Amino acid sequence: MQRYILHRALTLFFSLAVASLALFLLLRALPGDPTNALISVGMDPAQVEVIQASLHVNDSLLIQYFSWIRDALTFDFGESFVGYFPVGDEIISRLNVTLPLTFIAFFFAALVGSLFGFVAAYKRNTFIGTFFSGISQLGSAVPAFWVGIILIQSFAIKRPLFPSGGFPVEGWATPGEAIRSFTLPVLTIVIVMSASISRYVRTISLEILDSEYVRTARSLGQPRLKAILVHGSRNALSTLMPIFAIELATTFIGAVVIESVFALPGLGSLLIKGIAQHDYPVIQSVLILTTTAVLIIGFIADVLTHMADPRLLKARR
Amino acid sequence: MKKRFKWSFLIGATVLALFIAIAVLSLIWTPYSIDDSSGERLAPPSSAHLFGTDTLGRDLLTRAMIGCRIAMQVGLLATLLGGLLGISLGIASGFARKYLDGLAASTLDIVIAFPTLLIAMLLVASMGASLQSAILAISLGIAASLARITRTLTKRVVALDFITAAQISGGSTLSIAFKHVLPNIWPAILANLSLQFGLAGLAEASLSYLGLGAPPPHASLGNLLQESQETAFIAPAGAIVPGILLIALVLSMNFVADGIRERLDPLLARKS
Repeated sequence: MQRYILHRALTLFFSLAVASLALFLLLRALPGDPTNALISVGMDPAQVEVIQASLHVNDSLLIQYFSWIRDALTFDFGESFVGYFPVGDEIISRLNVTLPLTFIAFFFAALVGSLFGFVAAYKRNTFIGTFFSGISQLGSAVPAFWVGIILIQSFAIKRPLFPSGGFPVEGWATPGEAIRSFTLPVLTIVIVMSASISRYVRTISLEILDSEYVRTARSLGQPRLKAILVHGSRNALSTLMPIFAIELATTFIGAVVIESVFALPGLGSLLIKGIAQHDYPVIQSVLILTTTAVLIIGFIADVLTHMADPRLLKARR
Repeated sequence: MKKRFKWSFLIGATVLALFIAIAVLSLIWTPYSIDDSSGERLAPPSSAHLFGTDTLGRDLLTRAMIGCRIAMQVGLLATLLGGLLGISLGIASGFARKYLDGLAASTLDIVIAFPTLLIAMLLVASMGASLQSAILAISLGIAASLARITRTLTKRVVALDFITAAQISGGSTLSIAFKHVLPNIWPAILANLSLQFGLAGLAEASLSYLGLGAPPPHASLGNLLQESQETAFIAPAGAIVPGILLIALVLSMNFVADGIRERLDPLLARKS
């Protein structure tokens, strides 16, 4: 097991290196020189050189890459080309919105999704089972931003129970206001994500219900529900873990869309604005941070999966 | 059970056929021309404009038809491209051993680390917003998720005893992959592929809603929703119709997928 974790950590490190290099090169391969954004008409060549030196564009790509990584490790992401704000500070303030949104929404989505999926499988061929799998089918077919639009229509405009968008300026210092502006976005994500999670849970639960070890346990006199929960949960875990990791990452990245619908000042809206304004320090920093987060989520999920299912360790040899 | 499967499959297949018909029809005929803005602005549904008009007075039925065509186009291209790439990579890496296995795992980890939206944003940042970059991004996303799922499934099957037996009796890796692994994991993969077809339409809508997909003169369903969000209170049809169309597309793909799976899954077939 330790060997596996060490191996997987090395893989994580290697992945991070390759991903960051690929990201760096892709953004460098863009048509046009990033300095163009900072050079205005009528600057003399000396001024242009100062700007170019400040951006290190004349260094070799490799040196640029390593100095970028070195700065990023100390959380120095440079300055925005457009707003001249330090990107690192801006990211931290944006994470105050995006991280709670992601985790609260994912927690409820996983809870609701697992419950619905299990009931849909456990009660299959009955009205309840069909009803639950029908709901989750409908839910996973609905575009998230459309749910958001409809929720705004129904609960912010027709009946003004919640704000239609935005986030209090004081942030979490005014928890009541913050929670009120979070309600509809969280609800939107939960509706969409729980539906997709419950479909996976249903499939896996069906597999377990039909498995031979559950039949054996039943034949030894265990009640059906107990046989499934005791023997099935661990098997389910090893299959569900990678899926949950992907779903968590999807929620995190999907927050971009929800932030746009509800005009929340999160990481996603920062990135979208950055892309629209060709603000490379912002694009590059947000992308490398999200990539790192997703890679680490995958690492943790893989380790947990192998803890739950030692057969996978055996299969490696 | 069997009865329910038949009608849901029938409904799914019918709706899918309708979508295909609309997509093909929109190539040769639409009620109005795409850029005809002669209608009254934000008109409610009427006999002249079945779904009403948008803020520029363009016919929404025309735009919705073209939106369906774009969604189908994206779904088909992205699933084909992503499926081929993902399944072959997934099976190959499921069989890989030692450092090849590690290499496959880390490569997959890197690709999977870029959810579709993230890849799309990267591509848009470098190539500009277009339908092509949207399709490319979506198919890469599909490939990554299919490769990962196929790899997990393959590894689980490969760990079983009958694969060892096949190896001992001298089967080559390729023949084991096709004879033993693929038939066992195929239903799950096919179900996933058909889900992905519908989801590709959804993903394109999300991208163009964010302004990262087909740029505005295009009438993708996401563009329609984005344009109608501000005016949804005055002209609700503009926000409701594209949403319903997207849901219908994804649902019908799900129904078709379920039908195919119930036909093909060896475990399910034995039971009924």
